[in-house]
Amino acid sequence: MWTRVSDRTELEGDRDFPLDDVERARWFVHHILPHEAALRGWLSRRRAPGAFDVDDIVQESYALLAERERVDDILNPRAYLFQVAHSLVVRSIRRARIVPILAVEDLGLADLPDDAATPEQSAIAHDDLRRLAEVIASMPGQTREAFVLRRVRGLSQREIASRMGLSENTVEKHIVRGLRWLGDWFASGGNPPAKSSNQLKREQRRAGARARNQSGY
Amino acid sequence: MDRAPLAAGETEELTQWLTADRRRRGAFIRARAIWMRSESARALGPQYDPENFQPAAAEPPPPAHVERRRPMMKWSGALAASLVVAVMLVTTLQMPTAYATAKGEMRTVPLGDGATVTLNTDTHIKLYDDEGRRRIRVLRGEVLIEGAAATSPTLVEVDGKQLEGSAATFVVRKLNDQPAQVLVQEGRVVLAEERQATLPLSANTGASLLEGKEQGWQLRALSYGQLSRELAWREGKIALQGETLAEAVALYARYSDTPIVIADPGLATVPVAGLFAVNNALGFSRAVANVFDADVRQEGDRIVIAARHRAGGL
Repeated sequence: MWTRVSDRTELEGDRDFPLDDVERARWFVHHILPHEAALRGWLSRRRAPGAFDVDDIVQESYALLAERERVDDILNPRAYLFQVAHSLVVRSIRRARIVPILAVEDLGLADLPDDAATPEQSAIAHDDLRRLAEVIASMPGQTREAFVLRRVRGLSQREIASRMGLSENTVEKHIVRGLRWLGDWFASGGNPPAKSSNQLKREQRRAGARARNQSGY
Repeated sequence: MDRAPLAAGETEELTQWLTADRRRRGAFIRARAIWMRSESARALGPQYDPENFQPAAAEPPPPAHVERRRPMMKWSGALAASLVVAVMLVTTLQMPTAYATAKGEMRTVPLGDGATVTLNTDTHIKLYDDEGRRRIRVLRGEVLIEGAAATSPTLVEVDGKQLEGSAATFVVRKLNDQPAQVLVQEGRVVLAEERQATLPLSANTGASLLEGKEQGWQLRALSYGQLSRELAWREGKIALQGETLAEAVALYARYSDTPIVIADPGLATVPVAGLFAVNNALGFSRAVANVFDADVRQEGDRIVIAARHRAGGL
């Protein structure tokens, strides 16, 4: 099944992109999203610094899968996802033309993570709803409130806006932020999202204060 | 329903926008999948209180308030809502601008706010705009960030580490097979450490990422002279002060596809000093050969430096 994806994936960009294919999105929920963290981990361990960007490869892999005419013929979506990503990496490395031969050899699929569920995946599957509850709970203040009202209680944006005393626009921003928070959670394999940039900023301010108090290193 | 469904014109516009960059399409389907996945949050029910799910916090008693029951959301509107949210997410995703230089090339990019980033040879960076905050991801090579006069800080990512320069001029390096390095010339740079206190660097400090360790930077003080040598590339120069010829040749390899080959092991270890032009490998080779009584010859795409007694035999 490895041979199904080859460099021809590069040429498939012109197909119509379905906007409202609910079944396709659902397929991604069950077959791709759970493997994203493992894919990112695998990509970031490749020894080809600078030749490609993990985010780009992940997004392009999703796009290639979304553009396929059908997905129900993919027997092993996890393996397929890794194979697509692998061909994209090889392509970027060829384009970069700066990477030593070693890096390309290192990209062999020999160390492709096997199909068995990784510990983090089984953890996700095991207590799915609880993890979701936790990640929503870890969202920052108003984002969490808006997201809970929207996704747990099913209120409309307008209702949330009037209840929270915010503009609908602001509510929408909070919901998008919450969705991004969830996205980070998937990207990291079900660990609580990394520090928000606000947290980082706060810490940096604190560190800044420290630096001003002592005279540096 | 949250929003009116997309009008035909809007759908077309959206399709065009998505088609322009494949990554957008990937991000879009991903956003939709995540939105759909969060549907199961409904199953948490009206009793769900995030406060009960705070990680590692003592569990507070369950709240006594009773949530008024809400009618089920109209599912016909769900698709439109998910489209709108997915579009919102993707449009606010920072699709970065990539900048790259070829070997031997140098390039300065304004960052707004008076700050600039200068890419040295064979460098690849991505520039993000996170809600007005600029972030630079250094994928490969060497950059100089000059933001001494800028009012807003510059966030930099290298090797998975984050740092932030405030009113700072500093160099970030990610060279092949070497740990990332940061050199601060002016201002203050803060290294963010995960699960650790952040590490502030003051002017005239260098930091190298410790290899093979989860985290940690090695710091060293830099003299004015050292810093000037490290920054000589801005003037198109390579500054050497006692590096071996082999090290100097490796430096030149960053700037040119014409390799310099040292044919004599004895020559490889001789120390070299001086200021040389980065784009003149042949001139450098001749200068070195003159000093060490060696010969320089061009063999196809290579410059070969060999001790004279060998070459003389030909």
